[in-house]
Amino acid sequence: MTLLALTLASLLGATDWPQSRGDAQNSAAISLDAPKCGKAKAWRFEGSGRVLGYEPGMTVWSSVALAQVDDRAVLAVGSYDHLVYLLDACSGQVQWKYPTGGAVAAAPTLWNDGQRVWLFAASSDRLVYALDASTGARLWSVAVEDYRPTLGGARLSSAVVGTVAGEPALFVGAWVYDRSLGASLQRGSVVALRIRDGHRLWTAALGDNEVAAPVLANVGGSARLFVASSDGTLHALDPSDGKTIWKRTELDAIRSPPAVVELPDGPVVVLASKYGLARALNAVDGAERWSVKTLDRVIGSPAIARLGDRWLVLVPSYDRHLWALDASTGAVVWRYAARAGVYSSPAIAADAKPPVAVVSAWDDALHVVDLATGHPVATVFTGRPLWDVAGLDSSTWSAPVVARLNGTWVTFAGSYDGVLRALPLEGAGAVAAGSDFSGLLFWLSFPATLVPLSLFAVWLTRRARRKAQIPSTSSGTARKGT
Amino acid sequence: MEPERLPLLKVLDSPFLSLDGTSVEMASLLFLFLAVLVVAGTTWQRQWTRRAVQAVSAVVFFYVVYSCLGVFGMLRNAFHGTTLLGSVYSESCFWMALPVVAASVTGVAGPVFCGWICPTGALQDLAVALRNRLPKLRARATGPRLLVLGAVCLVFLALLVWLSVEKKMFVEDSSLHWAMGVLALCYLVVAGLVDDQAIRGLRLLSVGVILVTAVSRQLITSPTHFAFSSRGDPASALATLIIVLSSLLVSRAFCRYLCPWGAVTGLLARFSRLKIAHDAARCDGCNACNRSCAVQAVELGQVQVDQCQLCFACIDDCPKSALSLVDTWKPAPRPVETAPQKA
Repeated sequence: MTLLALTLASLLGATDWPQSRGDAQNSAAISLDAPKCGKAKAWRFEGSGRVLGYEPGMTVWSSVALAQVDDRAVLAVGSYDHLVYLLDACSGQVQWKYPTGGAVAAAPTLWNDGQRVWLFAASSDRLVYALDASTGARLWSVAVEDYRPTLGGARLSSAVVGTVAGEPALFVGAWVYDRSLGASLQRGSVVALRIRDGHRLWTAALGDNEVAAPVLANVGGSARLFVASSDGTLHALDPSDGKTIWKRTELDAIRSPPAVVELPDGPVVVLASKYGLARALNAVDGAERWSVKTLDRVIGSPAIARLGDRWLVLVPSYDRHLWALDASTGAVVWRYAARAGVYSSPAIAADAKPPVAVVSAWDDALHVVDLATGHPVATVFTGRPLWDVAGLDSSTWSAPVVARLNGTWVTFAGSYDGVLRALPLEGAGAVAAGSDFSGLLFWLSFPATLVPLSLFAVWLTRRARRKAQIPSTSSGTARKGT
Repeated sequence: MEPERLPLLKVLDSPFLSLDGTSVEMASLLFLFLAVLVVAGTTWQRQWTRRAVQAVSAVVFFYVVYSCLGVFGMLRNAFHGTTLLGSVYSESCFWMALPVVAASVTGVAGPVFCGWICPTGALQDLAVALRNRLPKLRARATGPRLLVLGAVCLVFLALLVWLSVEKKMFVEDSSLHWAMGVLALCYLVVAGLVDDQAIRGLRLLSVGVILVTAVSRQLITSPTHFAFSSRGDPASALATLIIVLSSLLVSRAFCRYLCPWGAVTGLLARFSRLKIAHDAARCDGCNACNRSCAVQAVELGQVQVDQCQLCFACIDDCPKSALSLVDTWKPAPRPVETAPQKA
């Protein structure tokens, strides 16, 4: 059944978003023809603007998921303000929002079962929420760990939709920790939930480290669930029971979901680790095909794109480059240089003219790169980072996605300045729309700060000089000696 | 060819993976403190040793601790750590560890962080060394000189605006406010409109701003967080450059006027075990101590404890050895008591 669903999705052209990056290749792209959607345009959305705190790896937005709901192209996004938003992808208008009990850092998942579109959101309140994407009504919610007052915020990954024993099921990566002295624990796992009612089908314990979003793929005629862990292990699981088929441990943490593709010479799973290594494995048995070492850590997911007869693996690296590798051999095809580390997973618009990949980098810019040549197409400033170390080790949070909405390619990117942007990729739209600068207000804040500071300093000086002139005081330069 | 075994550093790091691998940062800083406590006690070539420690510290801050464990971040992190107490102990300890260690060391051994470890201080010391070798920079400020200096500052500000408006780089960051504040204060001091000693209390204003913004969850950026070394942050790089250049006008200007951590260590240093003592009998009033002090915290042997950075330059430069480091916790030698004679 899982296999049938995967095959059908690829044949029909998906109108939903059943995995964290849309599909097993992590292309983060979708094509929607929505009658209720006019011409796609640039827009920006700032949510509630209330960030209640911060933690390591904080970001304000999750990555987004797109789908067609009621003839409308919609976008689902989680936010650090604890809300899940559903927006009209064409206009940026809020359709509804749903409050969870914690920050929603993982990308939501949208799944069309033929009767309704489900939205699955995993929140750091330890709960997985199933919502009706049309109305925002809660269908069920399930906790992956029972509440205790000393439990830290759980880090739940995006959900992926598959089947277990013929029933639609949801697979969620979960990491919970309790660092109170009495109940010290860290636990990473994958949980399978029955979509109908949220009933837990199985739990696969994967050690004590954070796990990335699972990726479901068709491997040699069987469905496989690939789950990467921060202890550096990639697990290939059987989605029917959660048993490990094979696993491979890297030298350092894997913080992002791998990408899977069926090449002419066999299925391949590509992972990338914080050691900076991209490695392609035979997806059937985990045997190594090739590996390429980038010059710094890799946090974002690799993505796989088809360009004519060639398959390219795109690897974002903190060495300030987006690497394009040949999926069969690992040979470097091109390297695109940003001005700072590339932290996000790439989104691939393979049908755009020209075909492009979109990534975010620490130079506060969104880079649109020609997929064929690696040359820059556009660079868009996304605004200042909200926090100077946010996302250093985060996975696919706030990675851009692309969508063709009624023929127009648009990229959607949540930024660290708290703004979610939609930027048309074709024409001059991307360059013009994204150039957000606080501009005049920022520069006016200089005199507003410096003039009072200077006046205060002058006042302090005059006061000190007056005191120094009073005969009863010893001296204006009196010292507090030891 | 990648190694077959996990690097030793990663083995040590792995228990702290959930803390995003920052144990390496912590370990390097704790090592720095320990190293300083050991070497500061030796008098042989102490100033060269201090410079070597500063160089190592700068490397550590640039390439290992490149972010918010800097001067501002320590205060902000300490506050954040307190909010986690009672629920997530190890994470709370992580956030509070460096501020607590720095504050404890200051309370016990004086503000060695400022004089020996702080990379912003080290960079400013470089500018001070340059200033000492260029007599023209030390020349008295006159009207024309001030006009030229003011014009240079305005041109620099115009350059920043141009960089921003033309989108050459993103510089609109609050770190520039701090840096330009230091530059403005230096200009006023050089122009004689403001007295150096009178505005030292502004550091408490910095502490207030940091605490208010931390409590209200407003995010401001420090000019000294060194993020630019890892992620290409031009605003922080420019802010640091401005602070270093300010030291050409007034040595260690940021430490004197706006450093919030300096204000905190200044308060803690009052309780320090180690203090600099002045032997008035030996002092001949040459004021060499004042000339050697980068922050003018000493005059005629009298040390301002809240301004002193414990670099020991005054002790090392005193020709009469009138200044010395004393352990105030060490009990004074008891007078020899003689047994009462029986009649």
